[in-house]
Amino acid sequence: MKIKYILKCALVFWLMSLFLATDMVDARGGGGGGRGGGFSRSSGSQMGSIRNSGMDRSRSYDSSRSRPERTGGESAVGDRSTDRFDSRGEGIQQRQDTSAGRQTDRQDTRTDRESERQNTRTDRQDGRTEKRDEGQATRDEKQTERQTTREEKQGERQASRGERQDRIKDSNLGEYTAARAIQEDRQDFIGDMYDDYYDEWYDDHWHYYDMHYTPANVYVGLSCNHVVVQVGNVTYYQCGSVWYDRVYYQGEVHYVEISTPKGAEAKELKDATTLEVSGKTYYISNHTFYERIKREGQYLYVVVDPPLGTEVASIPKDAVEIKVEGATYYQYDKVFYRKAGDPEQTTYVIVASPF
Amino acid sequence: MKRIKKISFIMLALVAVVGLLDFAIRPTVIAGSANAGKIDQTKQTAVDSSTGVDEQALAILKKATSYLTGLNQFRLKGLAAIDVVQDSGQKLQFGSTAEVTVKRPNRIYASRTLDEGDVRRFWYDGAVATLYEESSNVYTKIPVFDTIDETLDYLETVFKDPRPLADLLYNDLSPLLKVPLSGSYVGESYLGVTACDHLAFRGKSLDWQFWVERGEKPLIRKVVITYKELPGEPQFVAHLVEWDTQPELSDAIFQFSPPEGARQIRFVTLRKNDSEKGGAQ
Repeated sequence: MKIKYILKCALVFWLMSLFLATDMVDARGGGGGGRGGGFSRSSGSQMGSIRNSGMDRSRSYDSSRSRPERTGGESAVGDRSTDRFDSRGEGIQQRQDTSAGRQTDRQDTRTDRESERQNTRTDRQDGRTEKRDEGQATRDEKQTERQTTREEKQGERQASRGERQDRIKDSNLGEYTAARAIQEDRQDFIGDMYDDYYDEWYDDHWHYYDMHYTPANVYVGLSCNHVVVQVGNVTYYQCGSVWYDRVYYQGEVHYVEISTPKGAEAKELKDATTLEVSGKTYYISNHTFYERIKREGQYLYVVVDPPLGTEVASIPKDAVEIKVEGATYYQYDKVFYRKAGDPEQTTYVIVASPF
Repeated sequence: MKRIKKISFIMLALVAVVGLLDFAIRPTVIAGSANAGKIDQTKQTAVDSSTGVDEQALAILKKATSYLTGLNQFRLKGLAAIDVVQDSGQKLQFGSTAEVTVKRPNRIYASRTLDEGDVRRFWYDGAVATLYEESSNVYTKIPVFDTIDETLDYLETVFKDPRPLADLLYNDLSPLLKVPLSGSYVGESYLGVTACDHLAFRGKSLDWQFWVERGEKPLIRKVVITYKELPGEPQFVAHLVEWDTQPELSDAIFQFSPPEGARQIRFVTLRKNDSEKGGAQ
């Protein structure tokens, strides 16, 4: 009996040891159960190339050290409720740089474009009319500053590299450190390249940014009870009173909140106010400007471009702050605002695109 | 009674030996897998002192990259798979088939068919990059640089549009020789009937493996990239099943013509979430 008892005990002990050991191995592999619902198919922006793997992918080449007054660099992003969206459509909020540039000699073209921009820009907030020569002088100054900064940075990096090489040589830190130094040099190289290229390139391509919208959030998908709305030849998506458009973001099609598109119609407006501008009556509802028309005996409200120079009490909460040549703007889709009023009573004036 | 005690003692001893053997074997197995990467280090006869890469691995990599950069134009077809780690930690793999045509120094056309059925295309004509999504029939255009290398760097670093296979498309592949912190020659490996050299490299944020075809055409036949700093250490795998090193190409294939009804949409970039600056209210 005792033998059987001992054998049973031994068997139990052995089996326990098996399970315990197995559990330890499994624990190394990690676990994690599915939570159900939709699965994400997007690998995000982190799974990049080998050659650029040495870079800090969170690094932004729009860092203020290289271009504090160009595209506006950083802007505040308002809090955004994502409860209308599914788990895959959570608001993506992250720093994103806008472009890099190359160094080319296109001063003539740039001057022409600058001239065009001067002609189209209407900023009634301060009534300023910039002269091309002033702009040119400013640009020259900035280029000189940038060049100086670049040279300083390159000098610092060179010194840093030299120190690092000396350190490696002196302390015999080994091949790993040497390899790391090579890696860091490449990062520096890429950093230098973009720092050097960006400003000139942007000068050449600023006009292209007319078609850009730098929104507070973009969404992978819409899970709200949306309707598809055709305005002209364009398909939009609407959740309640909020409109969405498709955009490319990080190489894939996403959705972004937009202002009510021009030409969209409404039979009635909620909490509308009226405004007379140049003899024309505008109806304003939820930051959108409408004109009233009569069709087949019925009044309709049609979305129109807001008249420039109009002063409004508030702007959409997801408007994004941008800076262009030192001036602060707030952009919501295609509408640009500048602050007006006094500190006690801030208002905003609708202005033309500064791009 | 003494006999019973003796038998019991023998049994206990046996159990103890078996148990000890069991625990002894398990760590060996685990350690065996952990040591797998070290096996070839013991084989290494020489290591490049500047990179820490096994010279045999480096030589094969040099041969492969030199051959590839020596091709003025090529077309490759492949099967790719990428891990997507869910919020839950579950790792899912999604596949795609890809065809890429390159004409140096500044033309690319690429088409990817995802396993969900969608088709995404990419054109680069030396001045503009166009992205097109077939299911939505939408596209976007981005003014870019006049060389493949600058354009791919630009798309990856500025537009955060990573393309892991892009490593093979650059005009200058020398960075691939400089990025590894260490590298090993794993050994001969057959991909189907194709004899390859299996190379393994370690980098700061990722590890990668190349399978390079043996023979006169040292083509890279398989790529595995492990993003070891990302949660779940997802992998990208590409089997490059077909290489055409002398394709007949016309410039037209690198030019985008919008399909009927296609709509151009904007590409957007986000701003820094910086509450210190205050939001627009």
